[in-house]
Amino acid sequence: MSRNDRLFHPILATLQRELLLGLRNPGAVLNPLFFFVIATSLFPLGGSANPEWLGSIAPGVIWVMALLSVMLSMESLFRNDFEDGSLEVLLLSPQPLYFHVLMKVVGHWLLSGLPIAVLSPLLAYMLALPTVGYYPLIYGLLLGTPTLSLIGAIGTALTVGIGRSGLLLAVIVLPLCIPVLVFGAGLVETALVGLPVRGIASVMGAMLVGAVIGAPLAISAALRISVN
Amino acid sequence: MSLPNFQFQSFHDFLSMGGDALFVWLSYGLFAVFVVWNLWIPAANRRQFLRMQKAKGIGQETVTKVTKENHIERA
Amino acid sequence: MMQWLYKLGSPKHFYQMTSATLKPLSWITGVLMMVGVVWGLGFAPPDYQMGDNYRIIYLHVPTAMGAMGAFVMLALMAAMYMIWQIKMADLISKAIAPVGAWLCTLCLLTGSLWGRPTWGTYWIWDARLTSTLILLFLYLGIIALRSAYHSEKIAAKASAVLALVGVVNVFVIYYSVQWWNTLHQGASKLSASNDGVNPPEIWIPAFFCGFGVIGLYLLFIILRTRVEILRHERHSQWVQEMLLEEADL
Repeated sequence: MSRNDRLFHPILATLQRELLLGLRNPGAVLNPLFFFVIATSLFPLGGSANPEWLGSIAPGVIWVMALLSVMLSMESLFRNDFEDGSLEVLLLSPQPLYFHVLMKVVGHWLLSGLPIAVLSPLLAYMLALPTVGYYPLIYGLLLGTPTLSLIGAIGTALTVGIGRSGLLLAVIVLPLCIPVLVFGAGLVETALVGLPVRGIASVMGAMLVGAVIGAPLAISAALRISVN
Repeated sequence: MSLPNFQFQSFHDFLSMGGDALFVWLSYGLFAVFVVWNLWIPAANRRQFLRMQKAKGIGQETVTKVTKENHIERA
Repeated sequence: MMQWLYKLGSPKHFYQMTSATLKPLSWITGVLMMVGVVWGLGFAPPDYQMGDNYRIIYLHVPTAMGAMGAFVMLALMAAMYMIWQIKMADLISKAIAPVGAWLCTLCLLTGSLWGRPTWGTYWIWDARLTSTLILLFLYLGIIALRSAYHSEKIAAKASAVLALVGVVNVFVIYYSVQWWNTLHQGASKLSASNDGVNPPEIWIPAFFCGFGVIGLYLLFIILRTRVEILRHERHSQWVQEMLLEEADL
């Protein structure tokens, strides 16, 4: 076993464990997706089934619902590990915590953000989004949901020591997610009016890079505080 | 620049603020609430703290420590 | 200077030094506010366009600057606490959060009270209004997080991390809201409506109010911090001795 294996194998094992836990507990993975679909379909029922109106609100509605369902799924990210003590083991591991938490978030995104992006065309069709908006919606979600997961993970790490912290998590994290929401929904809307979207996509990419670099630092610091 | 003059013909004019009395006076009123509240809250918290300490007998353990140390100093 | 800063870092010295400054600070602040408010309300000439309702800006502009400045100061204190573990920095940031939230609320309220007679609406999704609203949400989040923890130490560190994350994010939020506003050109774009140069009769009282609000801000922070110091240091000898003296009186 080379030195590299010893460094990276345990970090990849964190990712593997995250995915395995998700697959063994399908409810925790599926519920946010059900929420995403159900809550989105409330809008025609609560508003109007007029396709023109639906099409005009579709980018915003789908993005807000994606944001909320990512936040709902976030609460479980560190909760179980905190309760059974494996979070403490993670904090004591010889590998940098930075990569462990990054892998946990990646694992979480693969089971929450990615399925949301994959499901989004279905909802876009139900909300009568014009077809030019589909492609920007999907890749906007692919670029934006990992950022949401990373920001959400900061909030989760800060509140993991508090029981039943769902609402508190929303209060502290939702304002921080506003830029992603604004650019994500704006990307689709810009595409709908036929303007170039490359600049907006670059900004979202930049936010993702910034979050990948910065967020694990904040998450690690927050976990060390919460676990004590 | 000469000294500023009072800009209103009468006190009643002053109160009516050119027809925008509600907006102007409500703004200044809210600001007054802010000032009074933020002066009152720390004072109330302070009083509550002092009352609690008094109820505890002003931390018996340290009081004895203080007097002991005073004795040592005097000696 | 360094000596002085070092002394401010100790709760005991902070308490004693502020005891001496409270009275002069209150007087200066009171005089500044009184002069500013009386001058602004009664003696500044009415604006040729807006008439008398512009007198609200004597409170609106200082609270707006205070709300933003308080957030930066909150983040500075959080950084000092996280980097150098200065206890005082946390006690001060605990005091800043509610005062900043108050300033933010006042800024929004006076803004909408000014907007109604001037633009015909209490609220509009303008970039500046929206970012101020989000700033208020950030303050509320920090206050909520701190109050959720029973352990003071964890609460202090957690809210410091959130304040730092918040201040990094606040610039991104500001930029994104600006961009969002150009994307959705609203019904009417608000202009600052003071494009022309205002005569000194109008802006001199604003100076008094501006420095007065800074004075109020410092005063409220100091008052709140002093209570926090007493609570935090209640087992220490100097607090106990002080309590004894007060009990004698």
